Formats: sequence, structure tokens, C-alpha cells
Amino acid sequence: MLSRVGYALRETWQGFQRNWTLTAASVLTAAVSLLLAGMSFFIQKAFDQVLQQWSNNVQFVVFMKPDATTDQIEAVKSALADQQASGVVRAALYSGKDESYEEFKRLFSTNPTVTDQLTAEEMPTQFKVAPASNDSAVINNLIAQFRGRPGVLDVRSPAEYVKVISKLSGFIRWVTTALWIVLLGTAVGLIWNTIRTAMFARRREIEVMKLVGATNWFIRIPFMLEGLIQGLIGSAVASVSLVGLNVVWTGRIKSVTAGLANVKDLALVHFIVGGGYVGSIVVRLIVLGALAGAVGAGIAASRFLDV
Amino acid sequence: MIRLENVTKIYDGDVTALRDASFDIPKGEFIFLVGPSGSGKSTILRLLNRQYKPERGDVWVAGKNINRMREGDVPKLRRQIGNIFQDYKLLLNKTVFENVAYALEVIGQPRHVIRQQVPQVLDLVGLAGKEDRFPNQLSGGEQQRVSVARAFVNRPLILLADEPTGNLDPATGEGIMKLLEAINKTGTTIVMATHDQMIVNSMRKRVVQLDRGVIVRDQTRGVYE
Ligand SMILES: Nc1ncnc2c1ncn2[C@@H]1O[C@H](COP(=O)(O)OP(=O)(O)O)[C@@H](O)[C@H]1O
Ligand SMILES: [Mg+2]
Repeated sequence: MLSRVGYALRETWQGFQRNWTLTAASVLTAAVSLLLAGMSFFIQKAFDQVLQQWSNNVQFVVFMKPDATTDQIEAVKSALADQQASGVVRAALYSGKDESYEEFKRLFSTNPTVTDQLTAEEMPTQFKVAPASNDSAVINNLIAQFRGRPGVLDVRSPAEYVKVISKLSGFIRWVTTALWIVLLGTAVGLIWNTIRTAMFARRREIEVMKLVGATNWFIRIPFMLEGLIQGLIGSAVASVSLVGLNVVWTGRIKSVTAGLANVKDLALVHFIVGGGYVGSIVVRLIVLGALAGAVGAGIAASRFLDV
Repeated sequence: MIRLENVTKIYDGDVTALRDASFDIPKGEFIFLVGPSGSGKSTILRLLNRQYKPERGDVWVAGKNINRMREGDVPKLRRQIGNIFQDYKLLLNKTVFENVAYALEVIGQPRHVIRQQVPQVLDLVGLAGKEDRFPNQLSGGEQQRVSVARAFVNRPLILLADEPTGNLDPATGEGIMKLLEAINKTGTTIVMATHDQMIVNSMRKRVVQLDRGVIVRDQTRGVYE
């Protein structure tokens, strides 16, 4: 048994050395496709988190015109208080010119040319409103009530954004998934070709092995192992890159949102994908890489041994 | 040990390499298959180690109908059969020792068995001391001895030899024949395809003669013709 394992490993290692250019091409293609697969899972997760957060606290924003009078603002404020008293609105958050301007300055703190161009006077006053129900008919009715009021610039409901974002995420999901599947198919093809070439180069040995009564599995295993390891190296490269990208991405978001009030409410922070989920993506990548290698090599090996 | 029953082998749907061939080879016999090139000698040998299946008829080896054999049992059959070829089929990147050891290694024999059996069989074929040479450092006769050693190292019941002296000068060929006779004396059944008249005539073994895929003569203690 031990001698068989030793034999398989030795043959596999020699296969790599003999064919390192083809091997490198297979491994790289596998790595790129798996990195793309990982990013696709990652993006899906990020969008899901953002959409989840938005649909959990459905709210709309009443934007006042910059030149709205204090009376007009107070009228909207008291109308909202009435709705809150009657239980239609759960919470309403007022954000005056100064608050809006502070938030704006923090968001664009790295970009002084933008902050210099606007003054507190030009910032819109806004109310963030959280309806008690998430029945869209009730919410639409509520939105319509405020849209016509004097001094109101517009009422924006995230339902529209949710629709746009989920369309966008659906599209991105579709494109990245199609891309990684095609690339993984290419990787399987390249691994298949590498193994076929390796077997062809060793056809004399294979002929002798068959004649002295080696089983097909015995002949096949070093080649399948070679393909499997190519897939696994590909997934290792992809996993390391993905974890690296995630560290950079998380760092960027954290530095942009650092010091902001209500960080939890910002859509941006929900684009951060947790370490645990990245770990589960890595597991998926390893499984996919191993499968690609085993399938490519398996097809090559059985085709070759049949004839 | 070996039996062909009305065996017909057709290649690619139109080349009939063997037509309705029948014979019976008892255990321990030494038999020559003779006939001109293309008469079907190699085809018979390839049917016996299940490289091919016949279109009609049955092939029995060591008590088993090998046409009905499951694919998974073919390696087991082949471990009972040694093969020798005109072109030796040695692995050029392996030493003499490794070439012979390979046959044991790939059927999963443990290392201590290999270390014991290989020197023994190399001694038997007269290659003691040349274990570390590569095939291209050997004469044709020596290379054929390596291939005999490889075929015999796991003590097969049957040895199939396809023109083993075809590439050798008569004196060297005679050496190989002595070796095969010695192996035959240990009880191994030997089927040898050849068109070497001198060898066939000097050995006086059973001769099966083929002509365009048909057995035209089956004679005990026969001559080439
Ligand atoms: N693999 C093959 N495919 C097609 N035709 C073959 C094949 N092997 C042998 N033949 C044909 O079958 C006939 C018998 O060949 P073979 O058994 O090799 O004869 P011998 O060994 O007596 O020279 C020949 O006509 C040969 O061309
Ligand atoms: Mg022939």
C-alpha cells in the first residue's frame, strides 16, 4: 500500500516537471476563473446584505427646497408628528442644513475641492421617515401626501433604489457567473489537454503497464492526482488573492466611513463581507478547483485508456 | 491451458486476420505459430492476452472464457501471462533493474519482494552485474534478455513471444531460445510466433502454420515446412 502511494506521488511530481509550461497555463486559468467565481460569490453576498438592510428598515426621505421657509419646514415637521401620533409613522428624523452639511463634509473629507464649493446654506433640509408598516400601498399613500406640500422639493423612497440595485446586482451576478463558468470550463479543457499530453508522452510506459497487468486505476491515479493538484494550486492562488482583495476592500470602506455618525445605517458598510463568509467562499473555491482538476484529468485518463 | 474455438477476428470491419481457428494447448507445452508476414500470428497472441476480442468464437485461457471476462478482471489475466516482443518494448529512461522491477511495482508488489525477485531473475537470464545499465548500453541480445526477465519475473503460467529473435543474429537468437526452453522446463506454457525456419526446425516442437488467417497445419514435433 505504502509503495503504491509513493509510486503515485513520485509519478505525479515527475509529471509536473516534464510538463511545466502546460501545467502553468492550466493552473493560471484555473486560478483566474476561480478568483472570478470567488468575486462573484462575494459581490452577491455584498448586494444581498445591502438589500437586506434596506428592506429591513423601509423608509423614505422628504427633501425640502433649499429656500424653504421655517414655517414650511415646521408644517412638515408637525404633519409628521401627527402621523407618528396616529401610529402610521414609526419614527421621523430631522436633519437640518447644518447637520446635512457636517455629514457631507465628512463623506468628502478627502476631497476639499468638493467641500469648498458648497456652503451650509445650499444644503437641503431633509426628514428621514420610517413608516410603521411596510405595506407598499400605505407607504405610497404617505409619500403622495408629502410630495405636494409647499416647500417640499421631492420625496424619495428607497423602494426605487432597491429596485435599481437588485436589477444591477442581478445583472452583475449573471455576467460574473457566466464568465467564471466559461473560464472554469476552459480550465477543465486545459487540464484535460495537459494530462492527455502527459499520457501521450508516456504511452510506452502505459502500454507496458497494461501488458503486465496494472489495473486502469493504478495507471490513472498519478495522472488524476496531477490534474487534481493543478486544480488545487489554482484554487489556492485564487483564495489568497480573494482574501487579499477583501482585506484591501474592507480597509477602504472602513477608512472612508471612519468617524461618521450612524455608520450602521450607511449602505456602504453593508458592502463589507465578513471573514466567516470569505472562509466559506474559500472552501467553495477549493472544492471547485479540485473538481475541475479531477474531471479534466479523469476524462483524459479514461479516454486514453479505452483505446 | 489455452483453447481457441472457431475464432474469427476481423479488423476495421473488412480485414479478416483470423478465420475459424481452433486449437488446444495443454499446460507446459511449447508451440510455434509460423506463417508469412500478415498471416495472423500476432493476432492470435493479441487475442490470448485480451488486447483484442474476436468477432466470433471463444478464447479460453487458464480455465476462463476471456471474451466473457469483465473488464476489471483483465489485469488479473495479464498477470498470468508474460509478453516478449521483437522490439523488446523496454523503457529507455529506466535501468535494467528498474525495467524488470517496474513489472512488479505496477502490480503493487511490495519493495522487499522486488528486491528479492529482480536480482534472481536477472541472474537467471544471465544479466547479473548489468543491473544499472540503460537499454541503449546493451546489445540487442542483452536487451531481449531484459525483456524475458521482465516477462518472467512474476512467474506467469504462459509466455507469449512475438518474433523474439526477429532482430537478432542467429547465434544470439539461439541464446534466447535456450532461455525460453529453460523457462518452459519450469512448467510455463510458451506460445511463440516466428518465421525463423532454423529455430523451428532445430527445436522440433509443435507447429501451427497459418496462411492468410487460416490454420493450414497443426503438427507435433514439426518443422517449419
Ligand atoms: N490493428 C490492426 N488493424 C487493422 N488491421 C490489422 C491490425 N493488426 C493486424 N492487422 C492486419 O491483420 C492481418 C494479420 O496481421 P498479423 O496478425 O499482425 O500478422 P503476422 O503477425 O502474422 O504478421 C494483416 O493483414 C494485418 O495487416
Ligand atoms: Mg506479427
